Amino acid sequence: MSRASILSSLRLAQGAPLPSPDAAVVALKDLPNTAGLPDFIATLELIGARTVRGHNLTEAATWLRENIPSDAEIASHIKELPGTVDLSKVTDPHTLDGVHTAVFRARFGVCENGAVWLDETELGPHRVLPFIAEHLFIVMRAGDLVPTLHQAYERIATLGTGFGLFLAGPSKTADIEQCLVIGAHGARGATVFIID
Amino acid sequence: MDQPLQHSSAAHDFLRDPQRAAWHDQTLWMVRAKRDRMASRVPEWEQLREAASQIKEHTLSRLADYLEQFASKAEANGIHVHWAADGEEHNRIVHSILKRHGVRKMVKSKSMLTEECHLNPYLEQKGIEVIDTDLGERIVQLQQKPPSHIVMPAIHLKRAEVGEVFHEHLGTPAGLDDAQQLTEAARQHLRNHFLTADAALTGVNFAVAETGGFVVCTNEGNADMGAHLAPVHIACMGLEKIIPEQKHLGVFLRLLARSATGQPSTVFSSHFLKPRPGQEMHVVIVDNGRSRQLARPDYRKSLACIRCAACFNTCPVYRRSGGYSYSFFIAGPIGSILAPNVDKAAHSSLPFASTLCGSCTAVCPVKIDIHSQLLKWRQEITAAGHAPWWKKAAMLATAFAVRRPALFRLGGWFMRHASPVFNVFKLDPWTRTRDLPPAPAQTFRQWHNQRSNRDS
Repeated sequence: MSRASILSSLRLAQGAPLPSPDAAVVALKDLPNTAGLPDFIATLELIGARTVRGHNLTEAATWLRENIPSDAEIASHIKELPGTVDLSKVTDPHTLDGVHTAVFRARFGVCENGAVWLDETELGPHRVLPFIAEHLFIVMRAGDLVPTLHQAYERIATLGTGFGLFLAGPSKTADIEQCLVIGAHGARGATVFIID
Repeated sequence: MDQPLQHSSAAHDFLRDPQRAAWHDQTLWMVRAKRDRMASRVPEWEQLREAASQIKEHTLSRLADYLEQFASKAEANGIHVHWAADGEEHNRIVHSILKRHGVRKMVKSKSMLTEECHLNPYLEQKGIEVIDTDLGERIVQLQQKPPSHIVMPAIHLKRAEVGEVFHEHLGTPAGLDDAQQLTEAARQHLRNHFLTADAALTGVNFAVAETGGFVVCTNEGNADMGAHLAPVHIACMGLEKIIPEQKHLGVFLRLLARSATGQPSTVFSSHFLKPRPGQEMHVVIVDNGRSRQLARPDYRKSLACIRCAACFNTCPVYRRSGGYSYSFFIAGPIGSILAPNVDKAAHSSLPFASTLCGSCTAVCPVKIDIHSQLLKWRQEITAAGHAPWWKKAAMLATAFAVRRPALFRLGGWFMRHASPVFNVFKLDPWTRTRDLPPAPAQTFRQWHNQRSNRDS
């Protein structure tokens, strides 16, 4: 183990401590920003996600029934929108391969980049679910928005679980000649259901 | 001993196909333009860059403390933390973990550090299959080539070439050149590897001292597919990846994707804090010359780099010479200031692969003074005697001439009259693709004397 030698050569090299950058970070967080739902929706469209507006989970259930094939495997973490996979019995994440649609809540959304935040409170122990499923159906409340990532981290405060994720739309790649392709390794589509 | 790769001659080879060179140039410029559009949508962009720069400078001045804080928090969270002085030790640590778990196949998401340490050949020699899972990286891995760009590893390849690689290795139909279908083939191929891998290795974009957690950013979701399925997750980080507090992520994540690809955010910004139940998680912290770079005041700011590659995309030399003309695994302007720290002689041509236009410095999200550092390396490399013989000879001849006014004047007269000869016989690299303009009728000396006489 080279821990001691690395740390001692760093101590020799690092010099006198420079002042804390806190003031600059706080100033950014406190900048006035009035971004809201229309900005969030516009950004989601820009990044290839679909938005659906509704009033309650019953409407979400209707949307799912009308838009997801009836024989599709659905893994849901929202008890009002039951899926076909019993997640409480899933202990090996590999068995989630083949899930058509993953359904879960997002804690809040970020207007500037279309990302939604979720951790194991929303995901349960199945961290791989938003990556392995072919499609994502994400439910969030219209009021749960922050303008930028600065407010987002203020809201997260302490990460309560072992894993957390900013998810911004479906997976994508442009590694072949800069041609944008939606659906790299993760989901091919992401629908954000916004409850007003 | 092999001659080290010289940037100018490798670039000359790249330019033998002018159409491809122009396409490469335009493709990267398009990415630069996307970055500009995204940056201009954030009114406080310059304030963000300044904050990012301050956070990094502060962190570098207390690096040892923050690393210790990170390690103890991470260990308290159930993560195994390892320290590697160099690439060799890094490889040994990774291998020992894999060996203990009897790993035969490992999936790996993008990690420039493992390129730096030559991890893949090391593990393959020990009988472990390594599958690069970033699409671009997988393409060049199948070609047995390194990435030519740190964010877009296969940016130098055309669709049809990717089609050929996939036809040979993945069995896609010959002649397939549709990006959508090629990506789909890679998805199926790699999905199979994700489901059968015994371990996953990822890089680290940011490690947070305050929480002991780390963040990995991808668009494809490949890092997470690997890490959340495999029973063992190893995350490898250069020790400069540390930032003090979680809230600082807000600054860096706002800058990273916008600077890198012109997206408002990467699709996935995953915050790993603890292993999932039943999983083993390791972090390997690597020095490999970074503490040496930290001790060099002129160059320490290069350790602030967040590997967005904005400096690649804007660089007129990178765009027109391609990643393979650089002798270092990180190409572009940032690679050219990191490389001489590792080996001044082997990478002596890199700081000269620049017009010193300063565009790299202007786009850098953490305000590294890249072009000033390039100039400093030039001076250091020349002083250390690593300049090519013709450059040394030219400098000596110039020094000899400027100390002798008559000879200097004769030289001036000669150059004023010899430019057509240079143009016709292409005696100078400059005249290979363009003509020297005719010298003005009046010399500088005549002009100056005339003015001084008039003024006095």
